[in-house]
Amino acid sequence: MEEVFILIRGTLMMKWKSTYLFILSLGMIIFLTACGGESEQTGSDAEGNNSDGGSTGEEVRGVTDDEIIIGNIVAQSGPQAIYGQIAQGIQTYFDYVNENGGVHGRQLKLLAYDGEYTPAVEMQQAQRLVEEEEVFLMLGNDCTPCNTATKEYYEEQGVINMMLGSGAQQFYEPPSDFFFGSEIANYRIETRVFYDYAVNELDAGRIAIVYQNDDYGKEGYEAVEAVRDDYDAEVVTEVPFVANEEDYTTHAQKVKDADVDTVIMLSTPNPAARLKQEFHAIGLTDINYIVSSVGGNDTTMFELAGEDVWEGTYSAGSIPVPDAPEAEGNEAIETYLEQYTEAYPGENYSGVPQWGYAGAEVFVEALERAGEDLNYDTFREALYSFDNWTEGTYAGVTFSPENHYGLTTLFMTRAQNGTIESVTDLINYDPETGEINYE
Amino acid sequence: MEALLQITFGGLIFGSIYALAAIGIVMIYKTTDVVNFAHGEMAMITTFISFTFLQMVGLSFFVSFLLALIFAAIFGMTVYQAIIKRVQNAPPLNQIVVTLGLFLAFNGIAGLIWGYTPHGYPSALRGDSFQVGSVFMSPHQLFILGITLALMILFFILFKYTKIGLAMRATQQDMQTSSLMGIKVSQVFNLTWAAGAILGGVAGILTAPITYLEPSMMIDILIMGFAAAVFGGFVNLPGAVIGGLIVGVYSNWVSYYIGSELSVAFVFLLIVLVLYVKPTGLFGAKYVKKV
Repeated sequence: MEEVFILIRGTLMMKWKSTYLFILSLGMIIFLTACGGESEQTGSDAEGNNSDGGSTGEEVRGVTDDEIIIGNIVAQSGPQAIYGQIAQGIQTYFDYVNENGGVHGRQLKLLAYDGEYTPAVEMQQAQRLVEEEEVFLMLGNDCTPCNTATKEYYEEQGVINMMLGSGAQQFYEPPSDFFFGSEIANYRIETRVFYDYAVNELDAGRIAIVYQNDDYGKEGYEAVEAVRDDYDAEVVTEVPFVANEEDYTTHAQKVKDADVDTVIMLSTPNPAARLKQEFHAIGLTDINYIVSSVGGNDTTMFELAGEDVWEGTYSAGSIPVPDAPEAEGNEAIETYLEQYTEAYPGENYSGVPQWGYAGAEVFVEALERAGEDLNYDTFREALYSFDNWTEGTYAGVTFSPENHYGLTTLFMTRAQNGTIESVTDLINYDPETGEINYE
Repeated sequence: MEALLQITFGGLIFGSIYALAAIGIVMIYKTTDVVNFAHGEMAMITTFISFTFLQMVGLSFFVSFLLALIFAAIFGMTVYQAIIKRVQNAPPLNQIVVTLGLFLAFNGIAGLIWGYTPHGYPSALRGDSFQVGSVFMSPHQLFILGITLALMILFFILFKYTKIGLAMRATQQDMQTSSLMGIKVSQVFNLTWAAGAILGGVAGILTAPITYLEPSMMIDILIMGFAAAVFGGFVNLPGAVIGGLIVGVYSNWVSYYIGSELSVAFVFLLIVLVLYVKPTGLFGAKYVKKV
């Protein structure tokens, strides 16, 4: 009987020990997880405020005494592979800078990965560049939906993204510590300028807005909606379309039925060219046709739509097209043309590759201004010192703690004689007041 | 009324392109029992070849057109001999996976060779639009309509009234018996794949001035081509053409009166309704295969 008691007591003791060990182990796991989590969350503190991921103690991620590593993700394959030219533009300028001694003795090393214009792929590449390659920052990433998908990750990791290949508002309003500037004009700013120019300079009275029915097209559409009552003109029809539509006969017919004098087209290149072809096909040739810079400010549009059809189309630019008359004597553009055509002979040199090159110019200028002691604090201060900087190929670049757009200066262009020519002086938009000023 | 006529005419033009894509798909299926999902990408490659003759070699449009169609015939036969023949007797699912694989492979190869930047492509017949009543039409649009109707009649006669057409129909019904009856089945299949690729090539070359030349130019056309083929009955050539024209016009009406975002959805809704009422498609006959 006594043996039975001993056995029961022993079993209870073992159970108690097991429970004790289990609770102890659980506590240790929770403790270690919490410690581990804390060490990984370099981007946010307990209140959720962002902190720098660029600096870890005295070391700055991606920066050594003789090198700075920069990451880039653009589509290098698939239907949107044209955006791979952004990486080519960046590489061209980095090579030029490196040949001339680098920045404060440091060489610039670009790691450009293929994002396939797909958010899931771009997220994987972002993790690879940030966590494995430990880049200093990301430069010139393309694709609005991809940037939307990765925005939170970069902010959590505390990685600066600059000169995005997207003009969507969400990256600049409200200003984020980790997003600075776009390679192309902000969609809302550009459309505001279009509307202003159409009414005040082209005497537009009856306007049609044709827009791509997605995040990109709707940004511009909403910008017009916000100010349409401020002008002495009427938006008489709004025609949405899906980006991959093949047939634009009905869209053209809707515009014709509305009897408008001006069409503002917010789209990528193919629909912009297709719609204008359809206008010509149904005899609608005496209207002002204004196309967003992403879709219209490129000489390849003459080839797509046909020279006679594309002639007269308005758009906007923030970088002069190399073949345009105003580019003559522009040293920055001449240097670009010389460097890019040498690096990529026979390839298209207007439009997309210019975005990458110009974005790299802004980045390098900020590095110069940040000085030898490079970290995120000195880099941000350097960016905030840009006040209508015009020494690169961009028409003007401005940053401030309240203005993270970068590109708020642009000019209207017109397709004329096989090239894209500037038809205005510089137009400045003030993000704080919403005012548009023509120089 | 003026707008209705104009968008109806526009629908007939796109409908003709869908019809051309559908004829090629139907023809290959009707003879070989293979649903060729790579049809559009084969057409795209033929169009790029014609563009190469046109731009790089500097040949005229019609010479480039003819040379590209010769290429298409060889290309179609090569695809059949090198790949499809091996899976001719495989289960339908395997055949589908093979043609889907070819679709992806051809798309990727075209991207590597010619890049993804869209190119403008010249029209077969250049010239300004002119008005007939209240409807504007261009020489290229009339060329598309004419070619579609001509090819439909040509292939209908070929299938119905010629020996080769009879051989094609017999082969589709019973490959073994046809072979025993002296029909050279392999030659019939070669010819069918060549003709199918030529039809696709014509569709591609007529589409390129409208949708521009790029590796993904035929993807949406192929989807609507399949819709047209199913609508028409899938084994009926005039049915495929009429299906294509109905899909084109109906799609434009939906786009104009309801919204362009909904046109594809409404097209497939119509097809569901048609198949619900007549499961073999509008012109398809109930077909019992002898065993």
